[in-house]
Amino acid sequence: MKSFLFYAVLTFLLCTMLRAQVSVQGNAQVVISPFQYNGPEDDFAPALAQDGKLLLFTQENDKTQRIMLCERDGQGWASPTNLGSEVNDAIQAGSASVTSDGQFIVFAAYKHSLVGFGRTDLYSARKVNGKWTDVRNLGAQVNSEAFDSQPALSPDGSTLYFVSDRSGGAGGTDIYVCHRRGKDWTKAELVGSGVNTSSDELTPSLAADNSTLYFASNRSGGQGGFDIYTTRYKAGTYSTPTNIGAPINSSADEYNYCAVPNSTKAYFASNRSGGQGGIDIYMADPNPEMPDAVLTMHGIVSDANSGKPLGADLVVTDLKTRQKVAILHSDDQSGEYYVTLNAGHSYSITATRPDYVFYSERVDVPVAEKGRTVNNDIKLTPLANDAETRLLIFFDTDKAELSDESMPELDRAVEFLQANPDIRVRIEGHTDDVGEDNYNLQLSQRRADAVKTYITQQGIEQKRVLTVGYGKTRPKVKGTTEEARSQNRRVEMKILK
Amino acid sequence: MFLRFQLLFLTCALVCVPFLRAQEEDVLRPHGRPLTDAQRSAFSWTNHPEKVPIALGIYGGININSFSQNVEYALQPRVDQPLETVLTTGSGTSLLLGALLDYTVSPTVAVQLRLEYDAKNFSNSQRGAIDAVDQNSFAFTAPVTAQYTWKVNALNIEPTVRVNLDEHLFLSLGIPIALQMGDWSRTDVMTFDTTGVFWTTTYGDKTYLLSDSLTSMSRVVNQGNQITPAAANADVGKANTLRIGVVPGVGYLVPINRSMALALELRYQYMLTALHSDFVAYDYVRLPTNITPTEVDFSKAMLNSLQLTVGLWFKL
Repeated sequence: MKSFLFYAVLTFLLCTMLRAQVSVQGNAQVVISPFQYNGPEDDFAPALAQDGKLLLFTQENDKTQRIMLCERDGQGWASPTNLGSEVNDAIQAGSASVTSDGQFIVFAAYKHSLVGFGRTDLYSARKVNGKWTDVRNLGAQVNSEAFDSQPALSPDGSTLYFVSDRSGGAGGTDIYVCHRRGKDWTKAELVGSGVNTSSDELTPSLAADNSTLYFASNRSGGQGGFDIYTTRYKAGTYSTPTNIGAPINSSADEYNYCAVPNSTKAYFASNRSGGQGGIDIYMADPNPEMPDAVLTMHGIVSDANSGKPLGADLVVTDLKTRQKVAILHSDDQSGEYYVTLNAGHSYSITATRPDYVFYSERVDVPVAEKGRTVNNDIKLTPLANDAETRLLIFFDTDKAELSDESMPELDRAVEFLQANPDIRVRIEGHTDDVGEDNYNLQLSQRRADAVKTYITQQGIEQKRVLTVGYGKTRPKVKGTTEEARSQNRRVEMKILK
Repeated sequence: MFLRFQLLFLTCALVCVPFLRAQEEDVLRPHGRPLTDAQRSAFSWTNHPEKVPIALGIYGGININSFSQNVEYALQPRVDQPLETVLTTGSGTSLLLGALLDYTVSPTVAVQLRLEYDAKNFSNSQRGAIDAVDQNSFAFTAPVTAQYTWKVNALNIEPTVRVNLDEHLFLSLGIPIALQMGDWSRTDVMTFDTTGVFWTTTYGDKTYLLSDSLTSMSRVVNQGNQITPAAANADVGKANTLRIGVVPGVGYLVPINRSMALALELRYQYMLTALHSDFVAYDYVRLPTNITPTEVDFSKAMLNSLQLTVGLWFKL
């Protein structure tokens, strides 16, 4: 009995020691390395875009804050460049947050040349033909007479977190959230309890999974000064924030935690000793609080005829909810686009541009997405006679009833016809090679007619929409594989000018 | 006078406006830059993180006073060394006590309101001459030493702008509004070289017998009274009881601890308003010999001071 007790106690002690060792090792494995372009004054607010190829940050020189941009090339980060006079036209400008496509930013400015609402305000800007322009104050729904700063956009740009010390908060500076509706923003609301405290909350950052929110706070119980905390937003509530711990947090101040999508790396800012001066940017690897993996799709939008890169709007629609979850933009000069998609959803991604026929792609992201990057170039056909595009219309087998998932694409077809009142279209139905020829002809005709019925019910004149059923006579791809048959079961829209 | 105030206002505006634009918040810090470790342990006036950026101060020091006025004779003076010219200049030192309230507007600029007890004291002496009559009733010119001591106290209300050059050194520019406290007083003393003789003079409406025990005579002149030797009427030479000026200065703050500092200041109080209004008097110095008096014009009685003070400033 004594021997049993002895071994039991020994086993318990060994297990306890082993557990402690793993914990220590786990923390010790996080390597902190400084950003190569830290200057003698403050460097903070790192923000990544374009799958980690673009880095915006705020750099202070002679006590003046400016937004800087770094692009990653084969050799690493290229030298930072000023984001431009139109954006940085303020006493202080910085804390920029950027959408995943790198085409839209929200930033903070103290006394910008544009009229604001009082103290530091939030502004937006777009990248047009390689230049950051179209600077706008986000307006009274977002800004107040108080300090409004440190924006954090969701990757798709549809949600905006920011910090304000306006009255009515939990105390000090608090985190607020609002949502984009077209070109406007909803009224800013205080983020739910648990996140904000009577202490100061600063520098929110939303990870690519649209759920993991990092922020800094000087609440009690931290390691000193401002520490990084993380919370997850799911089912309408925020989990209890947790301190991200050492070695990222220290007795100094830590701000601006920014997780690199589908990567073990994260950037943050700190005024810890040993830096270049003031606040410096550091990289942590591995990130101890990694967000959920996402699927990143990128490619080049180009003219189908000339191959010329095109700037185009990319509308991301959740096929289940039929909601447009993001409107992004491909680069006007390179045509590059970047879209971040969350696990467990089915999306359509539609590229639109005036004088071109829209193009849609369906993307299904599995629940068990491990994180990957998919390359998918998009070719837009100029709006001319016989130009055609495949519509993302889905039917059950042997059925001609439109499924719910087809509605976003049908609505886009309606919008397209409304935007181009001088054209007519022909809806062409196609089937795969399975089944009788006549049956397939009739089925494809019924399906084309169903599309026409929906379109005309939305106010489009009947004479502008023709239909034809081709059955299996015009396959897109030759072959009898399931993949080939899948591509051949389709509805196309042909332009008749 | 109006033009001078305009120039003063313009100068203040030009000096202050660029500093008032200095930022205090930035995109990261809603309340401005935090203190460094060194600043946390020291008294800082360029970084004022307190939610109420107000300080109080007390100070004291000396005025090194400088008085001047024009004394001009309409005709040739009746003696070679007229007594009145002793009033042309004056100098002296006196006490200055004050308290201030300092409000930090930005890391560079603060505004202050000062309240001062400003005692002025200055004097001068000079050799002169006066008519006398000896025991044989002969008039003669008697040499005397004329001396005056002038005292005037004021309560100064002084809005001031303070501009930090660095953590310790600052410039200041104040507008003193001096409210005179009571009457000023001037004591005139004439000391005769000759003793043991009898002589008379109307000076002060008295006749003096100079002897070994009486070699001088004196009087106290308050505002509104006649000036040496006699004013044209009793109303001339009234004090300006409200005076305005300008006080540029330089200061140095020596931190004692986190909330207290020693303030050393050197300032120059230049008053734009004269000490008293201009007036005309008559020189009756030859009255005993029945020589007609001559007109003397007194004007531009300016009193300025170099101020050296030591103070203690406390952050609230």
